[in-house]
Amino acid sequence: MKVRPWVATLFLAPNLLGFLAFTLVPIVASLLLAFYSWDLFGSPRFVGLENFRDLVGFQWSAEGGLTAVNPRFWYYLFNTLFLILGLPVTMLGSLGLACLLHRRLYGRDLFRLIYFLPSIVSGVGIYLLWKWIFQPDYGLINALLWKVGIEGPRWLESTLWAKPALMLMGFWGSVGGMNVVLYLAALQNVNPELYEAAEIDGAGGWRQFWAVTWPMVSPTSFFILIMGIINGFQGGFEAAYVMTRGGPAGATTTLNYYIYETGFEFFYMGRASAASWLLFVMVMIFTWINWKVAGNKVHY
Amino acid sequence: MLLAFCFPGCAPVKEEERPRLVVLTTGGTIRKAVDAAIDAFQAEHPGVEVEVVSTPGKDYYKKSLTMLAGRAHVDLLWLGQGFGMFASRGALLDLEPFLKADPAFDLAAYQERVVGWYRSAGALFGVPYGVDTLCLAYNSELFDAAALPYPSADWTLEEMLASARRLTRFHPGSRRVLQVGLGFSELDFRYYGLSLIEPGEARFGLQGPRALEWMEDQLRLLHEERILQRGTELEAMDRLTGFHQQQVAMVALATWELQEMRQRAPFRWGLVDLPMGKDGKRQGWASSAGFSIAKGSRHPQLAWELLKHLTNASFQRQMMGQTIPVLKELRKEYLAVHPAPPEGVEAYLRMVEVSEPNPRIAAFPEVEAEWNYWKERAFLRQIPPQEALSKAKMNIERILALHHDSKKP
Amino acid sequence: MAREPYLCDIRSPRVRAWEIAKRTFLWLLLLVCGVSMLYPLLWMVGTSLKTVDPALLLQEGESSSIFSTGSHLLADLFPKVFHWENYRAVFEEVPFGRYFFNSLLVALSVTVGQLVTCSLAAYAFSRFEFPGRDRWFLCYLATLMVPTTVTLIPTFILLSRLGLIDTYFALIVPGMFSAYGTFMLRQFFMGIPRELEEAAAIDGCGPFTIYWRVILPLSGPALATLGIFSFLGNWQNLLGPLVKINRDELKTLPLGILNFVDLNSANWPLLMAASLISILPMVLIFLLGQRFFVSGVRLGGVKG
Repeated sequence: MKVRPWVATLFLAPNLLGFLAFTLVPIVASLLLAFYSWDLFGSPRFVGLENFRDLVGFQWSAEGGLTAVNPRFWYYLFNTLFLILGLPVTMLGSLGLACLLHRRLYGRDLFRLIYFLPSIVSGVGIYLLWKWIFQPDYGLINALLWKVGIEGPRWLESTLWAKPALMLMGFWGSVGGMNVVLYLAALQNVNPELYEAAEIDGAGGWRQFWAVTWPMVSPTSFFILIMGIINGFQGGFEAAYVMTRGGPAGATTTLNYYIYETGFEFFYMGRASAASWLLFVMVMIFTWINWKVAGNKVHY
Repeated sequence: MLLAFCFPGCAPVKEEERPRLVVLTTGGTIRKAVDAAIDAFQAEHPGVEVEVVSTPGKDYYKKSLTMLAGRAHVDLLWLGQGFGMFASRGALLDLEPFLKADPAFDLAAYQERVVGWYRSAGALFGVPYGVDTLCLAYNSELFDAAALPYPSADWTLEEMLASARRLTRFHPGSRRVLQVGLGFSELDFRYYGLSLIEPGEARFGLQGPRALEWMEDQLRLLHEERILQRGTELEAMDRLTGFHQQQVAMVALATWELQEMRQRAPFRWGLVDLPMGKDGKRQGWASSAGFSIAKGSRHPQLAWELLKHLTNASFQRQMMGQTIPVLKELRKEYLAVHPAPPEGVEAYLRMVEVSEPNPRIAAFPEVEAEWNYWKERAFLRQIPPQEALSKAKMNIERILALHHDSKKP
Repeated sequence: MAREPYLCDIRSPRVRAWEIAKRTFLWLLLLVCGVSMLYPLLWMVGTSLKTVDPALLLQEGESSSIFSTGSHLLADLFPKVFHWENYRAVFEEVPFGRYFFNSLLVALSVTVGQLVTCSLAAYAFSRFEFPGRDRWFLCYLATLMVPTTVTLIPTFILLSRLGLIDTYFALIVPGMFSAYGTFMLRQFFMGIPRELEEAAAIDGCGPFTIYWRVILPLSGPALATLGIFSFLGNWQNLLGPLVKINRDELKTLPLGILNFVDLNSANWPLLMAASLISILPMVLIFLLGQRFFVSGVRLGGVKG
């Protein structure tokens, strides 16, 4: 729709102005800090790009090779990306669940609530409970595995299994949560006649799903994907903060936990801001690619 | 301009009609003690307002750092293990001038060792009200069942490990632990006469044959003998739960856990000093809690008056369920508050005498995190012990050097 | 005579039996997975009914542990004697009612605010054509990409310079504008067929009338979804109030619940009882929102 600029401005103004005042100012301030050295108590000192060099710079090592100044940062980036891999699985799970919960079935509202509950049951207690569930000798999972004769992995004490354990926990917490609510709302808007038409064409359950459901919920999937990546890049904080302190040997340290540690435990607020800048740029690139690639496939 | 707006500068100080003190503290038991202290203070200083900002739990440091970094009005703040972080960065006011001007206040009544932890280059950055330390709690019934003698106050590391071997039991035909002998995640390197950072604060202390010996013993006990349990595995059991449920025979019990355990353990148990190290000396870990005055305090003199209430005998008495009092006169009272059973609570008082807190230097959290990284990699057998120790030395000494440089004007 | 095959299939008893078997299987699957979803909640309920009173524990022959290390994985979930009085104690030990009221006030106001501002902005972003629209939108989204860890201190400084620390204003107003909500509604609005608006435009309706009379009535499920999310998000928000609030009287539930945490330990039964009470309004809002889903206006006929 073509409208005069002032009309668009009027619609956008309430949200944008409030946003500029309360969100943008702190964001810009924190990003500017990336070029300063600040220990929280003294005055910030301008250091140019030093913080960035300390994070992603390379240097000639004594042996003559080119090495990263901060190899741990790259490892934490890897951890973060690894944990994001859980996103597509969760999305598919949510969509499947939403399709089931959309149908007429006995106790539907109760099921919707039950699957939704894990996403609102949060807090320190739940993380401690998970820590206990993953306890290798006595914990719930390994005790059950033990009963069927399998010696389970050491979960949070193993660099190999710690991340899958966190992904499992994440799946449990989010598969029936917001995503299902979004998909259910989207499924409400699918015209039932489309299914009838597909059925008349002889399409089975799977064909109907791919031909009707999938394209019709694609705007929602697009939203979940974009938000999932934005949140995923900033994820893993709570789990590291409460459960693992980022270990073993840094295996569950994500960028966001690293930023917290750097800023609030090591008192390098400038470096923490620089890491946030880098995180921001990476998310921006990912979102941009998504927007261009996936965005074109979205059926509005 | 934006930066100038958002970052430190001088916030305009409004003239207040009545003086107002802002106190940052955590929550729970201490909140009640703080409220009582404020009541007593206000009875002496009518007309002074006191605002308590109480943030229980881990978020306390997040909150207090945000307020201090934002140059908010803060007069007094509680500090525990994080004390060094604040003191070394000049966030706290030197209390010596107040001390000198206030002959009625007798700092000599406080344990010198503990007060010493608050001193730095002739300045005093806080007054402690309590100390925390660790003792060994043992389940007497499990010792009886294994026909082992109870630990004694002069027992050695080897004796403790020998008992642990006898008390650790596995599921038949498996390496899955059924009963844990020793609920430790690692052998403290202090048993080997080592320290993480050497005095002088420039060098990494875990060096030489002793350190390698410690690391190899640790690996053997962890992987071959399975007498030590990995850290989060123990934490996941809620640490004390295993001891409660008689599945862990020995555990390091902290001061703050004593009261709870005393009230609840449904079996016979005892307390004893941590064992003597390889060098024939006993060393342990301690921590202390107290109050400090923020550098930006608007009413330092009034804050000092309130600080005395926050660390006096009455305050320390209220905190005895959590910490050991620092006033010498209260040590007997501490034992009276925690009567037998279990036997041996006085071991805590002995441990305080031989324990040291984490080095109170600016770089400590960073050094500790760096050390944990290399230590865990070695414990997981990803790299050989020697490599872990030398890599840790290189990185940690670089961190220490950076902090030394930044201190120079 | 040949009949249409699919009608024949639908009516054949074998196909119907297969259909019923499939549905029963799916239902059972949902049930089994649902139980595993409930486990942590059961643990919370069980813990909230335990006691920490040593005398009572001894009398009831109970261990005080919140986790069980024995082989009785489910048996130890609940205590032998249920201590319902924990739920009363929550209100007696801290000003829990006050926290509850604060949370309710903040979450409801923010939700209403978000529904208004986000739907207006989302309508503009989804329908109006103006230069650089998508680029502006991405910039708007970009603000979600900065971790809150580094904005905590600047936010605190900004609000204290404005004299807003310790006010309801600080808790409510900054939350009323949300890029997340705008993005979500934009996606829904994009799916609404344009024919309806074009018809309305031909009838001489202006953009605001179309937004008010056509778009909003069609967006029941979308608005309900945003309402649920924004309520939930604010109800659970710990970091915002942590930075903005010093005084006890203005604390919201997530902050208030921390009162059951001591220096190095926690009163688990009371903590869990308080958490469970604070979950109730979220369940209520979820169920209320679901009503909207069922009665949401269907977009019949136009699309396809």
